[in-house]
Amino acid sequence: MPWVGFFVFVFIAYLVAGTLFALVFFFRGLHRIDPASTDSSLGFKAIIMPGCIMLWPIMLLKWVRS
Amino acid sequence: MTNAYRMVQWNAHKKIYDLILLGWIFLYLISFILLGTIFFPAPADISFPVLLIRALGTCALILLHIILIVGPVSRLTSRVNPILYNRRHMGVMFFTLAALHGALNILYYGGFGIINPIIAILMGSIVQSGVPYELFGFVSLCIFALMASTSHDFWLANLGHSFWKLLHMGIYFAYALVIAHVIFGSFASERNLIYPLAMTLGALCVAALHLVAGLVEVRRDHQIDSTDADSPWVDVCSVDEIPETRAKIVQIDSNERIAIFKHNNSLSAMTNICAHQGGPLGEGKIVNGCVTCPWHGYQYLPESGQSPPPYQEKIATYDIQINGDRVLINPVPNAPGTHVTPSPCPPLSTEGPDGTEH
Repeated sequence: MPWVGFFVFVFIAYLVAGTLFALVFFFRGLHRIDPASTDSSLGFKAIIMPGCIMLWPIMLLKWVRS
Repeated sequence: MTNAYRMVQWNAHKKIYDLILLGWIFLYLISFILLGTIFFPAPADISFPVLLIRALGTCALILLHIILIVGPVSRLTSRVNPILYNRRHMGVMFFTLAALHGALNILYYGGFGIINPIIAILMGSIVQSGVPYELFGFVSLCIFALMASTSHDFWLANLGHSFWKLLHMGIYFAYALVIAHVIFGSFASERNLIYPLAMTLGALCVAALHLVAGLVEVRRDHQIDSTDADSPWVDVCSVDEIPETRAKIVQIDSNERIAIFKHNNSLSAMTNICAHQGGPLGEGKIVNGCVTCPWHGYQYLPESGQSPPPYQEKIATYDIQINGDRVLINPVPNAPGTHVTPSPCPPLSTEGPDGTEH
């Protein structure tokens, strides 16, 4: 069943891309899309990091538009 | 409310809530494992990792059912509002248990081979029973992960209320996948009827409570037709129907519900939908001069629909008039945050039923 392997590969690749995006986004883009997050704590960033990893295309779009 | 984000918005009530919940989870896991060890001794014993996997899974299932039913039950009785108040922390704890259940499953059943454990688990269920029940569990876990990860107010503000709500309505699809995961998984592993029966009973309870709450809500709606096309004003109720610091909820021509609050013997009207998570503002009350949402305590000034400074939430207000003892509303909403001077109520009548002064 090669589709299972392909499915898992795409899934992991998506999450790796999301992790890389999140690391850059926290330093450069977060305060631009939401001024209320300026000077936010590391704890807050840790809390929203999984969401940034999973929804990275949406956050990337918001960042570009901002 | 949004001003500067904090990691977790804890207060004294939420800390107690979380401690009670954690205590219950701990007791449940210990009890499940102890009872499992007592009732399934060697040689037909169930190994400790399997007991732990099942303890985590069943504990997560119980929490998922509480999360699903607390919404409709709160439409029937306000006694469950304290559970509703911090439901998102319960949701995150539920996800943590479900993720541990999934991770242990993958490691225990697929972690000792030469192929990727996730692939091994997903393929194993298909080979074993012909039904991809592990895939159902995996996809549902991904949906729950997305919901838990976006439960912070940052996501509500940045994804927009409608999209955020749509995303979190995914719980019903994920729940359907969990039902299939449990029922097919139980039959494939040991043909044990306890789990499928409990799951079916739980699903029936969830469906029935949603149906009953929906029917009660429709009956409770105080819907009014605007009969006079020439006048923007609609007669909605009498002044006496609204208790001080509370609201009456009305709906005009199937439009959005309006909450009419009485504060300092004056009336103000605003949308019934909280800007935070769509909570029913009209079921809340006025605390410290602010309309307070019964779900998460978001507050708005009655005369403007704005959250008190430094917070920035705004909701729509409505123009309101009092004619005699009748309350008139213009059903066209003002822009969120628009100031509308509260309408003072007439002094209480001192006439007795026979028309004499008392």
